[in-house]
Amino acid sequence: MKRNIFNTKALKLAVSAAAVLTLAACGGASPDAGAAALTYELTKNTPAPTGELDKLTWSLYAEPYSLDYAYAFDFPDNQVLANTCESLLRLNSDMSVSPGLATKFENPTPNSWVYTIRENVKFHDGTTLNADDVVASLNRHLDPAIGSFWYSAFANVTSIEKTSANQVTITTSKPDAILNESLAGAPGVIDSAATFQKYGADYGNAAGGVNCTGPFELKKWQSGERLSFERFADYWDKDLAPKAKELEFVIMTDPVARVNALKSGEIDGGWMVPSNAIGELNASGAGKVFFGTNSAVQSLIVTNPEGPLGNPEVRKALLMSIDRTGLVAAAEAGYAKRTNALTAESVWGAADKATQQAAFAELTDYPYDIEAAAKIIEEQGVAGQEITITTAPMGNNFAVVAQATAAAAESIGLKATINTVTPNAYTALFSDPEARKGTDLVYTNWYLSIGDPQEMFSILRAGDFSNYGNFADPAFDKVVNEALGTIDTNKRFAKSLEAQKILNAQLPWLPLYEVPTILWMNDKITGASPSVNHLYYPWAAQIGAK
Amino acid sequence: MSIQAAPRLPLKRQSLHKTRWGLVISIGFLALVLIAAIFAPLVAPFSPAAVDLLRVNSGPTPQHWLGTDALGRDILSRMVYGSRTALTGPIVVVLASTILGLLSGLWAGWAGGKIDAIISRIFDIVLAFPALLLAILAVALFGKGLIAPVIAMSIAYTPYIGRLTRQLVATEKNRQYVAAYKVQGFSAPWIATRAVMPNVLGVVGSQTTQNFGYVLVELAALSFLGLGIQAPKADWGNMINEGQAALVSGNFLPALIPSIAVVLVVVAVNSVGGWLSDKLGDPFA
Repeated sequence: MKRNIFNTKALKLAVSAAAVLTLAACGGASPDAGAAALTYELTKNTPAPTGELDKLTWSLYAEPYSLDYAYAFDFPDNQVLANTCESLLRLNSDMSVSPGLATKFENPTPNSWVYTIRENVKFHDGTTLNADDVVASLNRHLDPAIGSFWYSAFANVTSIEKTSANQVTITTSKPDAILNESLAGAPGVIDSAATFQKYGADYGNAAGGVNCTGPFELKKWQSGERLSFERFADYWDKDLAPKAKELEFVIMTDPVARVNALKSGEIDGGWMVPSNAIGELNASGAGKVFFGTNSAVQSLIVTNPEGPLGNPEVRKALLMSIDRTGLVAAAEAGYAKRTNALTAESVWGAADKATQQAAFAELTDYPYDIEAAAKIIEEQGVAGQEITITTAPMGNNFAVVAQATAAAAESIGLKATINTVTPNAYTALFSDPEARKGTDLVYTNWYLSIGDPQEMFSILRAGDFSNYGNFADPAFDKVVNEALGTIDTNKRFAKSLEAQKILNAQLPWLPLYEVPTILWMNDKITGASPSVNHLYYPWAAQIGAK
Repeated sequence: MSIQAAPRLPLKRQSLHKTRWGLVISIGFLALVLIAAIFAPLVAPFSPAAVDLLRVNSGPTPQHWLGTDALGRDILSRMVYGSRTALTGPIVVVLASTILGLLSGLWAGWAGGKIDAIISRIFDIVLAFPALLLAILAVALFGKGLIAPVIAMSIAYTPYIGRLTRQLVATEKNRQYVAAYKVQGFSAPWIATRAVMPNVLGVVGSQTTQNFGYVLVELAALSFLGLGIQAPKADWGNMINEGQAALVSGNFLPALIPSIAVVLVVVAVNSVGGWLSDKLGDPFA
């Protein structure tokens, strides 16, 4: 029989707890109470370091799914991978690209790209990079047995061949305007051909690992705990020679524990610190939060075209019922910007000024208007119909967006159910159609890997792997296909503008807000550039002692 | 010849004079929670689902006495509505497990022999599984919510009552008044249910109140894990879970208030259970 653990001492404990409650209540409103959208400055570069570090420790909110670049499709995977594996091109902090493992790239014909491979680059095992490694690495994306998550970047590729000792040519079936830029991200990562053979199925996982050319070499991956790296002495880019002798990523899934570790100095830094902790972190005096360029938009993916949200008018009504300005305050503590687009302003940087402006100014706004939204629901005859919002316990923003959306749906006459799944099950929503069954809406923080909105638009074409709600609009597909085949930047962006407007009218995903890239560094370190390019650029090599 | 009423177990003299205030406060507090649960729509100042995104984690204000949560919902209103699920689950579990436990324990204790052995082994098997584990298994099989965990916990708590009842009945059936009933030709079911059962109800009732506290904590834990009552419905376990996110911004109230409520209800229920136990004494002493 269970022991009665409660006695009069428990009563005293309860009284003590009540006292704590009273004291807490007397503390009054919190720093983010009633917060509206905040103004925050974007930082391009933090001050250069003055010395070396013995060890740099970094927080990860989740364990990487894989360090195999073919499956590196999320924030944790890529921010780790970027420091140990490199791509043919480099993504800069302003989303432009520059040479990486390829010293030169040319587009001699509309359907071919030629890459000149950098010489005297060493892999971590001491072998030298050559064109065969590049061919082997890129061809993995075309191999159905591999099932690369980045296959869509290579959808138009017909061959990848070594065309001279240090040259690789990619041939496409039709002009592909974003293929080249894609090679600055995970699709362009190069590892040695021998390593694929050596590790086989264990390539990129905790048992196998990787053998790339980046500034840090993977030494140990303790699954569920940490990934340890050492700086690579033979790293080819002397301008990016690592200042830290060791680099350690610590996996901390609990946001409270993570924030406390950052405040205490146990962990030196982290990307994507919870927005609602920014005030507390800055107030701690232990370091500073920086904001940088981001390519991500937070949105709600409509995943069920058969449900009430299959109707664009209902989607419009739902968007109008969501207080997006309030959501910025509640979900992101004000560190975000309400948007009507599914692309961030940063990915329009290559467009001319007029197009850049039109891409956002000419969009229809969907103001917060419960009455008008409820009227649409009534007119469309879907009042009382049910929608299911699937979310996961992955942070304050997930909980707030899911519940605020459910409340908004209820307020206009729909019935809303929240289905909370594990983080792994949530991840499966993006790869497994079966996992999406019964789900109408999924919240996402969707980032682009290149500075071109076509990366976003291309996934919403009929039949695309990431077109989760089977959105189909022939006019949209036509303009996107034309844009993808248009190498001329201005002409392509003009077509992108058309695509942006179609999505704004059709709302296959409901745009909510844009967030900046958020970086925390404690007061002992400096050097990183806060930008979304940390997913593909060896950012940890920049960090050293203050 | 007439049969005298079956003797009741002796009541202990009230000796814990100094704990009376604790008892009074406990009963008063439980009454308050019960009233809040029954009359929630009249007591709660706001709808528990009313979202105000521009007034999140506000801390106590004249409008929101206990402040607001991460969605700007009134914490007091959610506490009031949350008391409904906080009490409903444990009440159903306690009632179901008590009825099942009394019947099975009575049968085992009265019949003895093989029946006693079989029922006792079933109790042993069920006791080998923690109630929370059974509840999680039920959720995995039948889905999230209150129904599956409540059924699982009703089964899990039955042996606690059943074993106690069995032991009490096994002692009672050897008493003289039972022999007297038998001599007078009363049937075994009649003696067991009409004469013996009332004698064990007091002690079982004491155990039941203690079980209530455990069940409340376990159901709150289940909701905390996201397996019980689902958001956005107000529930104390859910509120603790959701309130965690606000801890990083220094807002303790959304998580602390429901946590304290769980502690206070459990302490109050156990205080009442302890008093009952004292009043009824230890039947095996």
